[in-house]
Amino acid sequence: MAPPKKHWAKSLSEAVNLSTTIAAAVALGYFGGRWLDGKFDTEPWLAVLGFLIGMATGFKMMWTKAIANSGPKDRDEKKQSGEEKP
Amino acid sequence: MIFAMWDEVMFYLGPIPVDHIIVTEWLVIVFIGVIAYLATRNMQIVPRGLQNLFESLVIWTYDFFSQVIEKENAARKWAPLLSTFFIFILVCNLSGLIPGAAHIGGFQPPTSNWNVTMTLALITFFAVHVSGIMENKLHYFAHFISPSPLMLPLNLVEEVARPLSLTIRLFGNIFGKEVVLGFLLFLAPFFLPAIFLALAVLLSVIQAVVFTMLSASYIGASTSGGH
Repeated sequence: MAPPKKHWAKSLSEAVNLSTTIAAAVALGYFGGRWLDGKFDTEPWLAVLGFLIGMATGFKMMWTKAIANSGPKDRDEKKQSGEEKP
Repeated sequence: MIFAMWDEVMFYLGPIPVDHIIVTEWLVIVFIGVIAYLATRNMQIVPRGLQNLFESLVIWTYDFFSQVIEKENAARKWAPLLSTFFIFILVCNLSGLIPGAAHIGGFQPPTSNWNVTMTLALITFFAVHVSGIMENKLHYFAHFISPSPLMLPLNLVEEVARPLSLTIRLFGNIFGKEVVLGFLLFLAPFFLPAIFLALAVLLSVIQAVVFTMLSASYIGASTSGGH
């Protein structure tokens, strides 16, 4: 069975959104960390930590979107091959 | 076009400075208000003319947002806000294409200023959380620690990244469009800008659709019990 069809506008928005949201998450983590570094005099550790958290958030968002967009066929195949718990 | 940036103050309302962007926003609000007044001033049981057009639009938007938000009552509740977003952003984006925009005082597309786009994104941000709390009560907050409490920092960054992304995308696209058109008009005043003007209209519509759709899908996700 093919994945359920989405409204074109929703698909367009999700595609346009993912790139900028990932960039925003990384920028937010880095600049937030840098600001905290200035507050607590811990340069550069919180900026690095923030950058990594931002990157992890980006990967998480991509992963969530990929799972949500994988059709029932993909999941059925994984179940049959034992890759995914039923 | 944005070649002559109008960031300076036009006049003061008491202690409050009023710049060109605010004046353009007022003009956009008046324009939308006048159209809405004309469409509804003489309502008939059998609609005709503008009333007919607007009734069809209202029915279409309810159906459209019902598909995205999925919960019928939530869609009916939030469709007016989302439709307003779409109309306001579209008219703001297109206001930069009026001949003389950014050269005549009080004519600069408001969405080419990040203060305006951030305000719209913050309205979405609060609408998402309010709708989530209204639909799911305190269970709504469970999504912050989903699928594990260890994900709390990532989920919090994601929540803040969303309005930031909405802000930057709309501002960046419209500001970029204005700058490119301004340069093109400066370099080649005839023929060439016409192609880009068509692209600018397309971009304006796409950005209005994207902002509205994302706001609707965020509200849909929060009302359905998580993201």
